[in-house]
Amino acid sequence: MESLTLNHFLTLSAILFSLGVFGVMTRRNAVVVLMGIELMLNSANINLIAFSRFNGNLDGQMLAIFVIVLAAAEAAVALAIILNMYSNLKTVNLDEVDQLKE
Amino acid sequence: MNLDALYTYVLNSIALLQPEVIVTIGLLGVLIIDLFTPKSMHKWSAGVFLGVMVLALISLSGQSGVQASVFFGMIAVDGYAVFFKYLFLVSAILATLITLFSDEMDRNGRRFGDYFIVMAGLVLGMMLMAGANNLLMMFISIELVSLASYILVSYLKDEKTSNEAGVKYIIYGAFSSGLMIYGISLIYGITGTLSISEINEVLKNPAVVIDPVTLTIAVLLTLGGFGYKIAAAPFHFWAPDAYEGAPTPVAAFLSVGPKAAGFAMMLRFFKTIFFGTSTPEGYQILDNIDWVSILAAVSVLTMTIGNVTALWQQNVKRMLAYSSIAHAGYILMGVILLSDSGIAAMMFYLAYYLIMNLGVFFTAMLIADKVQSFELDDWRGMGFRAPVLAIPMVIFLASLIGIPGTVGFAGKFLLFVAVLQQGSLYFWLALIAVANSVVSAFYYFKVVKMMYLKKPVENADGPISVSIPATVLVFVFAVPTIVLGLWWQPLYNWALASVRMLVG
Repeated sequence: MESLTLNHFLTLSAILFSLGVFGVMTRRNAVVVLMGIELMLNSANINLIAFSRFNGNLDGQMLAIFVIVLAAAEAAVALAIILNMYSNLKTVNLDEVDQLKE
Repeated sequence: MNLDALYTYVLNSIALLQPEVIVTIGLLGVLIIDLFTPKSMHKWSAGVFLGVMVLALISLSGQSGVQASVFFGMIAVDGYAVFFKYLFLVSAILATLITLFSDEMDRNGRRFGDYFIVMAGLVLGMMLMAGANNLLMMFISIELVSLASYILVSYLKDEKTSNEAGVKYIIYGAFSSGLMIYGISLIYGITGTLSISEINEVLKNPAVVIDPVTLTIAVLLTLGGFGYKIAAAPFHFWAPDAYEGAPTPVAAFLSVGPKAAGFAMMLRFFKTIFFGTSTPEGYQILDNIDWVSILAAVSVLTMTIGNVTALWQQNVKRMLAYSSIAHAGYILMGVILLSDSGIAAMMFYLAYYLIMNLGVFFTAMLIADKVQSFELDDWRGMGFRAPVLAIPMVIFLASLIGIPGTVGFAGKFLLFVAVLQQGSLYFWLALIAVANSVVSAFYYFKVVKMMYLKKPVENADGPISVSIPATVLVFVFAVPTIVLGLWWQPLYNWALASVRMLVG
């Protein structure tokens, strides 16, 4: 049986990253956009851990742990802000939030 | 390393990070003091915060001439970092004073404690950004600054504009940090290390073959994170919305503090990673990727977009946001020059930009608090209604254009001289920057024209009174704008002496 190589991981993470970017670009619901951003951060985590395994040092795994923590912190702040926006504007659709314009 | 040696090493590292430790203790101190003070005394937390900042400044003054690497190469404590740390602490103190005069923050009716806790976190993040010597540390500190900024921008919970600004800011910010961490993961994959000086060693080593396309993509993605922090095109879209919706003191602070931190970190990243041996005459650049051209293009794009879009803004706060984008474009010229004088000019410009930009935001805030509007039309005849605010406003705007005799001129002059010293190759860059400065005069003078050449609005109340402390603070900004513009040599010498970065 063929074993997993670095390329498998990199392909997986590239696909996840692209899906994340696609989600951010196309979705108008703020919460779904945040999910896209989480996908981007996690694709970087896969990269880091795979590289860490194949480079033979632990730096990448260390960074991945911090990225997980930061993703959680970012999600907490973002959801709080979006929740606040919902209670003020009664919408989470980014296209409908357009008071600030040229 | 045995346990005793490790113990001594960590203690030494902590001693060298004394200013950061003071800010951290201050963060906790504000939190605890705010818990135990009654609501009527909530403004005391501002006093505590100011005290902490002053203590950190005193502690920082003991670090001149230190060149050390702490916590296993994570953070560098060198002249370059110390210069920026002074900048951050001074800007935090001035932004706090601005906050105390803001009607917006008063009207909001919330305790100040939360605000200053987050502010202390922001200052801590900026100080770490200036010293970060490892991609891990860079990512953590940039995120610490970003998270604190998101909270500050959406601080006015009940204002719809503040909400909207916060949402737009956090979505752009989180997206850029996603790009950045993906870029960092690729750089780590290529080089096998996160320490920027070790990355430099790997790139310098001719035995290691590195695919230039992958490296370029990785650096471009990482640049996304830096570009977002300094509001450079094409990552500038958040800036106008975030600045317009944010409370004015926060917008003022964001346009100087985190922006300077972004530049500090970006320059350390590029200079450490992509330079060969450095000599006093200049730097030898590694030819893995042509990042000088990339950054030159970003610089031109940023200043042109900022200045041209600012031309048709009717809202002063939004116009100042575009103006701060344009200034980021000018400052980027200092980053791409491969010389000490370019870096010194950049540091010098950031220091002077701090004075004039905080000044212009503060004065605009005082005027807007009186007329309840940032719309240019409502500012008609302000020169006659409130001369004590309008005259300093003219000084700040003149300085932002770069009229001789102001700090803005000294900053631009040194930057252009540094650009031209690099030879005819950069001539076109200086030319575009000068043309941009001319364009910027149009929109800055539009404000002056409204204030002095138009009659006041019909239903205006007549003269506006300004409190004595506010007037004093306006002049605290306005007087250095002139005086330091004529007497700039000491600060420039200091910047020049601080250029040397610690490598390793």
